[in-house]
Amino acid sequence: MQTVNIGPLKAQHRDQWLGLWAQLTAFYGSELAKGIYDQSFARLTDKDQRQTGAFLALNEHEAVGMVHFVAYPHNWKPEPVCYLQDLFIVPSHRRQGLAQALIEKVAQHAQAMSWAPPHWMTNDDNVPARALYDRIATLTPYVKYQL
Amino acid sequence: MSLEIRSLRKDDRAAWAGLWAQYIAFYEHPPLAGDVVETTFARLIDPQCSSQNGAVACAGDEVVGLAHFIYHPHNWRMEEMCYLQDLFTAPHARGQGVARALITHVAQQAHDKGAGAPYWLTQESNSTARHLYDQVATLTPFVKYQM
Repeated sequence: MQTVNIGPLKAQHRDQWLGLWAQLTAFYGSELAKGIYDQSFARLTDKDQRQTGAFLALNEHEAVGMVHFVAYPHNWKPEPVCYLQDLFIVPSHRRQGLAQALIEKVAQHAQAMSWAPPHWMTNDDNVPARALYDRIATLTPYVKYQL
Repeated sequence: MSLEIRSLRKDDRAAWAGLWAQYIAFYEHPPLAGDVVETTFARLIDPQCSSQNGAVACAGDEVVGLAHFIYHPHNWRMEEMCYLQDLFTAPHARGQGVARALITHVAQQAHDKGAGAPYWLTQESNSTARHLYDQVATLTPFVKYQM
């Protein structure tokens, strides 16, 4: 953990990011079309737009974790809310506080941007992730429907 | 009851505010500050603010329901996602298909815009709403955490 650095995702991280992203989507049983990776990466690393962004955790040059976030407007409050959309830690670096560090990084960023604090969704059977989430966040009574 | 679903417009202000206040109260949330209500209404009816949108259901001259929906980027898709953030039917107009018609309208709007089909969150205990949602949509395994 001492050697891991967390910073904004940048254009030169493309290959490392792709490796993590493929593992994350595979975890959810999905494979995305290449065009989607290209568009998401371009947007996540585009300094001219502030609505979406990402942080990458690097152990030397090895990418070991990542998080994506998106801000969107909310009708109940004037400021945007921060939706933490994707969070992934490579298996070899789990249980070392990395997920918590990435979430806190997003929370700090949200605060700096004057966004409402992060919220996120998780599979209700994702026991390891929820053990962390139950410590650092509040489980809301909300469930999600999709048309 | 003959029902018309249309976009929210400026002259709906008073009727919309009445429904909106009831909706907020349903969530046992303190009333929203006047400037928040003003800001939200202005954004909902502003054609330049394409990410934040409103629709109302009218029975004759009476506004009996509202729906607010938001478009935001999604890292797993080329197209934007449509988040149906708020949905409310006046108590005396329930059981007549108002909510279903509003959801259908939002789905059509999202489709016309080329966005993903709407998703929404609801309180797990809201059995009345969920009775409808279980008919028209799919319950996902996702739960929501808030920091």
